[in-house]
Amino acid sequence: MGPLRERPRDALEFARRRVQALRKAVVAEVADINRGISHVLRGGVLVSVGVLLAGLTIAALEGSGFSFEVLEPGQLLGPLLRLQPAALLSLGVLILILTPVARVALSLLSFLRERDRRYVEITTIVLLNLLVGFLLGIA
Amino acid sequence: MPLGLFELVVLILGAAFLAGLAGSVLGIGGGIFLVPYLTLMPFLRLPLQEAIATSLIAVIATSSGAASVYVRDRLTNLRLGIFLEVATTFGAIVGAFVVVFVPSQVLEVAFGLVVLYASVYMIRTREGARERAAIAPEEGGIVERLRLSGFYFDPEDQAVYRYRVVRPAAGFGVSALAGGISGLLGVGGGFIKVPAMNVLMRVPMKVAVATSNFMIGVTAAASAFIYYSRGFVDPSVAAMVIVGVFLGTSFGTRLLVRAPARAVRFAFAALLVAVAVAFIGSGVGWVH
Repeated sequence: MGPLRERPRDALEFARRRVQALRKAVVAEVADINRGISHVLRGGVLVSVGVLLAGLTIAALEGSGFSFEVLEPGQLLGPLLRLQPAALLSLGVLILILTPVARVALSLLSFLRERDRRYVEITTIVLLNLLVGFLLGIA
Repeated sequence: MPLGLFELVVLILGAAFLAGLAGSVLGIGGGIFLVPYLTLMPFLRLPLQEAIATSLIAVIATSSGAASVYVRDRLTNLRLGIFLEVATTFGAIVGAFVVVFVPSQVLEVAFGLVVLYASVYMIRTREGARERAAIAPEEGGIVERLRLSGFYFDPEDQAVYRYRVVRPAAGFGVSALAGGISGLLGVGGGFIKVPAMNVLMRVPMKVAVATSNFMIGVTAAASAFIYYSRGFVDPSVAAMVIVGVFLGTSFGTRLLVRAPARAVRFAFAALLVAVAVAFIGSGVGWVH
């Protein structure tokens, strides 16, 4: 490659190739079921911890003490926008609880893409069992 | 009574750290310690349901934090985990209904004896390189069709081990039982799943730990949501628990990978003895 400003077309081509290579890498990363699941689990925990730490910090700065009532998922949005610590803490806990469920859903997608019919069935049963558990809990 | 800063940071963050550490090395969620700790510890004395809810949160945090590392390192047997999850989630639902009809003392003593047997077995059985690459009979039936057998890399001696899974049906049954018990007691049930895989199904110890870790989060998630929606989760306590467990698993996952499998088995067997004594004691009526 020569100096970029002399050959804008080359620079464009170079950038295009870079993007293509990057996209390929990302696709490979996501297509690998182990890596995908690992990322979902790690991401869920990290986001949850981040939201919780934000909530704890705000609570400490406000000096309002640490004890709060838990908020229903439906009433979270308003308090969240006002950055109320109680809402942030509830959201952090909810994200953590939903992380394993997201993991099961992701494995289902991976098995679907691999056309692994047996494991699509098995994972669907797990997901349905979870759903029944959730519904029984609300009832 | 709302907890003060001291209780939250020292008593809960510290305990959560230890639970995360022990849980990620042993394949358990730590609920088996946390529930009694949170209810009995002076200064805390949480109501039982709140303790169970908090413990379930800890189980999910341990599972997600540790499993993300073990899955990435391919220590976890994903297929085996998902296969057994059918049993544990099903067991958790059925258990919630059936368990009402069985006297809990009978259940506790029977359960303690089984756990004691598993601990003796685990202490006595060797797990050297040869045993890890167990020579199992021909594969067939469920194991072959579901491709449950696998291999893993053990940094302990820098070797890749291939292993075969045996007795899938028995492991499935025991996992269903584990699911039933975990919903009832607010624990992940790892102390049943690990021996079920290691002793019954002949899965190498570290793989059993990693796969159990992978599974317990899903088992706990369903129950945790129930407790959450009924308002038993105290978000400030839960936040401390999650942060503490997160730090604990960061250390624990490194420990398991390097530790000798023999030491992990021994530590696990010691845990089982303690659990067995607690269960039998409670069933016979020494402890209340």
